[in-house]
Amino acid sequence: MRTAFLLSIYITLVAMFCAAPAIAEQAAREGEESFVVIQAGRVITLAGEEIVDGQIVLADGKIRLVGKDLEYPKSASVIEARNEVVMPGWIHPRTRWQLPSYARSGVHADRSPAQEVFLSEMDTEPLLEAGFTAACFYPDGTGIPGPGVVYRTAGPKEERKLGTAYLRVTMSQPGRDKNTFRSAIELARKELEKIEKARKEWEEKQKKAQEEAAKKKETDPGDKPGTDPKDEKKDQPVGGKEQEPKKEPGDPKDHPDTKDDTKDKTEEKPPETFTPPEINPAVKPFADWIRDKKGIPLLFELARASDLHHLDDALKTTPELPGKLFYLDDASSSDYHHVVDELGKHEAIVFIPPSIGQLPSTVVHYHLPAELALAGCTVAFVPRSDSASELRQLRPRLADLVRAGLLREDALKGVTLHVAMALGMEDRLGTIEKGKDADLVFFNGDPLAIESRVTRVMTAGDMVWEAPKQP
Amino acid sequence: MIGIRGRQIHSFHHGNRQAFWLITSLLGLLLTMPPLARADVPEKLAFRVGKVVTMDDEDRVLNNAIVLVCGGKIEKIGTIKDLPIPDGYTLIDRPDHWLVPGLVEAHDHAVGSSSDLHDYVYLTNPGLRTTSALVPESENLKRARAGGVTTALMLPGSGNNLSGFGTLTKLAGDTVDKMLIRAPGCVKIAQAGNPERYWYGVSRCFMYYNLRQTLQKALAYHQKWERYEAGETAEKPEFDLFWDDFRAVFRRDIIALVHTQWYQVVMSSVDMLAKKLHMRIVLGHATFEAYKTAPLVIEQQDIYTCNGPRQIHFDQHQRKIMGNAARWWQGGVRKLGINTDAPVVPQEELPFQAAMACHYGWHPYPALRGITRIAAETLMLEDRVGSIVVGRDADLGLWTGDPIDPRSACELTVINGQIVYDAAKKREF
Amino acid sequence: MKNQTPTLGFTIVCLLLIPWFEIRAAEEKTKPAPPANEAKDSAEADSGKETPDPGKQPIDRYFAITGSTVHTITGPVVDGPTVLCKNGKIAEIGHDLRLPKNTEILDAKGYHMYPGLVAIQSQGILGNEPPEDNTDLYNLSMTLGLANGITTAVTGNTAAKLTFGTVEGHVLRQNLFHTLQYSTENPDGRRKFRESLERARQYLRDLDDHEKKKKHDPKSKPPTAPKNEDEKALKLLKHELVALATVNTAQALNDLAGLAEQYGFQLVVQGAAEGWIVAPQMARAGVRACITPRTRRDRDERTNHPNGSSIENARILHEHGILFAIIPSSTGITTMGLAGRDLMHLPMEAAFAVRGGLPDEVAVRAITIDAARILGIDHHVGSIEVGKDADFAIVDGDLLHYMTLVRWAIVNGRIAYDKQKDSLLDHIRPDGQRDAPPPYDPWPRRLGEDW
Repeated sequence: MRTAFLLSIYITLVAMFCAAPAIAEQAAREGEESFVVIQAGRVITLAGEEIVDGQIVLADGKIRLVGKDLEYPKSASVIEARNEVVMPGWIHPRTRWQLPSYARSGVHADRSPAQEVFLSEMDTEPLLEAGFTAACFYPDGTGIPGPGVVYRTAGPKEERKLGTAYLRVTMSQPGRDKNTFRSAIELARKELEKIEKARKEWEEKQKKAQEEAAKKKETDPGDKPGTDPKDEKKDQPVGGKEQEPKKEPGDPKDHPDTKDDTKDKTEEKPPETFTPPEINPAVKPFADWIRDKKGIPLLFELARASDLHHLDDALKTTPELPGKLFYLDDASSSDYHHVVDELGKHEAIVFIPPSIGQLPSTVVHYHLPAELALAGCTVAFVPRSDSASELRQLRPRLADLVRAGLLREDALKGVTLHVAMALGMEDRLGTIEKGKDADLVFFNGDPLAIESRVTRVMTAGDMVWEAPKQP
Repeated sequence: MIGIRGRQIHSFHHGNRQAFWLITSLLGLLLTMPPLARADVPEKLAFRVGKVVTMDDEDRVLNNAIVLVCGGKIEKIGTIKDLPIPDGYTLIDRPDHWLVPGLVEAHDHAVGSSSDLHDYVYLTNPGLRTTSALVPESENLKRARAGGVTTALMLPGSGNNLSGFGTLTKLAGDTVDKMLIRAPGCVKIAQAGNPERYWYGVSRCFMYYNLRQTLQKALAYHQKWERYEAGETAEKPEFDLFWDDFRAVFRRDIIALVHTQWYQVVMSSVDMLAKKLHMRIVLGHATFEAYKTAPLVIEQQDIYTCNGPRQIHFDQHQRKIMGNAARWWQGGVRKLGINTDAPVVPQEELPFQAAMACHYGWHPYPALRGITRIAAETLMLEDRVGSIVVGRDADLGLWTGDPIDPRSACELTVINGQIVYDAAKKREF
Repeated sequence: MKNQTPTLGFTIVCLLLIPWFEIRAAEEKTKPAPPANEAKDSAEADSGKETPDPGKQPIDRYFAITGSTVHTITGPVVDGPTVLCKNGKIAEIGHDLRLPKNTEILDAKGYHMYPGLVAIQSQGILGNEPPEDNTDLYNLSMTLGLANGITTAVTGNTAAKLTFGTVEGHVLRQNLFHTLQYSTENPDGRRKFRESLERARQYLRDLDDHEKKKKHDPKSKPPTAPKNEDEKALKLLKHELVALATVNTAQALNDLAGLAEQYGFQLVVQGAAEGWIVAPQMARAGVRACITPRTRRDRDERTNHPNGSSIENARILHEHGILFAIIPSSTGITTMGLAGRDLMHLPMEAAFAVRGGLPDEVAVRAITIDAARILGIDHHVGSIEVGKDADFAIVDGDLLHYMTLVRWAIVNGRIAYDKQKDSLLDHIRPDGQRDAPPPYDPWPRRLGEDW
């Protein structure tokens, strides 16, 4: 899968190289847009080859073009970065940076940590200094404490919130968490049953209404055509659009032909369209998965290899739920080597701290990140803790992992593209490609070299942070 | 006070027992009328058994053999064909049983009761002797005999660095004098481990210093007397009970039994006590990863290693369960015995400790040798116990099979030529 | 994925300055074998077929053990048959069996095959109740239990299997016993228990009367059903529950056996150290026991009736026809070093019963079928019979001998432990070699050849 993906990107890129100058000019001629061009010493696109002495053309906070020897309008403002290396902004997959502890247990899929995040009060300087342009804040606690929320680390306030990522599900103490998980699923099923029941009631009412209408028809032949509920019913597949609870009843877009009737006859007749009762928001993601087989991804947090089997056991009754996204806690001392292949089979996206652990009760070093990557997992890296020093340590640690056998590409993608994939934002973040957000980080050398440091950070096309000048 | 009362109860109890024996022997006198048929006069016994494991210098194992016991000593050994049983011997005929030397325990704390004997006075306590606390015929001793154990080194505890002097005893006799083989039988040193719990802040550097200075003082005392006895000085040193027992230690007449475990601690035992102070040391316990010091231990010719009660070590470097004895053996250590540290492991389970050592990689014959002959050598008693050799003490165990196998039971235990345990009367273990 | 292959050699990283091949060798040994290692390839193929198409029947999983001496426990000892297992159950035992395709074959020639051992109590091997949610399936204690041949253990009030690396087929039976707090030192508690039993019996009588009356008097009121302790007592009387009590003294055993006989409930006693004194009474009441042959209770010389423990306890109970299981004094597993008294050495405890005169076969039964019978799971485990679960301990000698080591432990037809593929004990007598070289030791480095 991934190879194919990379290949396609590569092909696009090659195509772009050929057509690039022309497009650039054309783009410049057409719009009155203001272009920004970064003249970079090296561009690590993570979507193909690295480009030496390349240019990145930005407009409207998005990347327009990437390439070498691009022509661009003279009006474009140029960011001189010939001595710098530019790569996609780093994304922190799981943090509670400067959030107070607010632990909860039980099922709270609706309790977003967005209520806890006060961007104006947050000092994101250490995050920026470490190269992060975005971070996913997770809700504190055990069980199903809520979804993660992704914010940019800097920039204008309205541009900072990027969206909701995963729903956190802990499975680190299966004896406790399996129960919570099962109860969430049970609740979700009950909610769906409730909807199903309401629908049946509605259908029965409709039927009655029809019968009455038919009786009326007999007496009053001048009935309007087109309101025949039979016709309407044919058009609506089970689980169709009209089940969405957020949709307003009788949304004209959905049912243009019934528009007039609903307005006229709501009080006498049962509603023409079915309005499902609202699903308990605490379990809504589960209901979505069970009914539609899609929804917000679930992040399962494990503490040891055994938990994966307990998770599979808990998922057995609900195969609709996705078992793809994992956070492996305590990865350096635990026994995940037992389930590396299993995780590979899941094609899992795995969050782990960047460390080489030891096999339990031994001094045998075990490169979990590399083993996971080899097994077919997508590895994303989480700094070991939410301290500024750990953020600073992330790059040397990644370098260590590379020195010990992890692919450089996997190490760099592990803090960019893979995180974006895990957060469901790979179409906006993670690589330097046409159309993606201009969230970039500038280094004064290779990102994995011990002596280099972050010089500048750009989010949405704006330079938001610059390192203090060193003597 | 309690101790004294305890002793009184015991002596009262043994008074009864003695009375019983007196009546029995009087009856015996009347019936058989041998001139000296008192109970504590050694019997003449003849064992006709399926196998005799002699543990002698040639490692002889005799099948279908006869052992004659007279006067508390082994009189003759031979096969059924060669050796006729003379008249006047009580024949014990067990053609499917094994006769092995009485087992020797080199590390026993069950001096008076089932609890360890600890005198937490100072961190070093020269002058203390377990001899004064021995309780003859205690339940523990009886149980030990039922397990085929006949000789033990009764040690003071290991709660402090130097806890006094141990006693070498036979596990039979209703007075201390009758039990006694040698007192003092050893000096007991504990290097690290338990003594670290003595008081807040006590750790290895201080313990080594403290031990060293105590032993240096003892050595100085010994040297003063040596000089006087050699006529180098006319000035007679003052006798000091506190230090006097150490003279035997420095003369290498008795051993220094060292409670020592872990690599570093064993290293310091070998270095400080054996190399620098020239004591004849025995590595008691020698557990955890102590087996890694095997090359050091072999270098010193006369160090005996007495492994136990821990028989396994979980190696956290390799996720392996190491049999301690097996690893010492693989390291080339041949002066290797097994102990129980009774009552940490009950005394009667001494052979089971050997079984565990075998389960985790050792070999049955050296293991049996480790609880008989080697243990006797460890205690410098090889001329008396630990083997079935003519002229040595008749300390024997009659077993239904391989003594190491927990399925085999000890049927008869003989100490100094006397039957001290007979399972046919009441099986204790 | 292809581009990652070159780094494969570096993935096991050694930060110590040890030649990497040594570490690799160590790692290969240290990495415990995944369950059913040998079956991996075929199993993968199978599972690949199993999952995507739910309409298809799942493919049967066959596993066969050939060549071993099979100790069936409930039947004869058979030399060299093939034991064929299908989906975790024993399908066939015999010579010259036709094995289906895809059968995973384990050649166990020269080894002895026993049913997996049953530990009637355990701690730390399985998780707390409910074990299917709590068990750490890669727990070291579990591996060590398997390395001892144990495949079934009790945690709390549930019997579960040592299913290494899978939750499948974990729990065998829940709510095994109703625990009684019975002590001769608590006369009040004894009185209350007796009264509960009495009320429960009265209720049964009343119910009986009511049934009779109802025929000619439809208005007859049924008696009120007992509650709380009385309800449990009722369940005991109806044999819906089995009573479990920890009692050791002859007096308490006698008392409790008397109650069991009088009220006809099923009773299992734990401990029973002085059982040898009251064996006839226990036998009459059908009491079952869970004993530790090595238990030591010194005789109290102040009393003139027999008391104290006896190494012959097991033999005497057996001679009176009392069913018993054997358990060591420590029901956990410890790697701290005092070997021989925990669940790492269950057969050794049984060996001590033989010392007291119990026949070898009965001692083996006490840690297999008889333990299973007491737990009410003997239709699943405890012997090697067609239809029972494929749980085996395949050992390199007589089970009760002190040199015997478990070579393979099989749970639900899967290899859950393979001695030579697990670092724990692979260095001890590999393939029966008694003089095997010592294992490589990475520490301390300075004690090498140049010492």
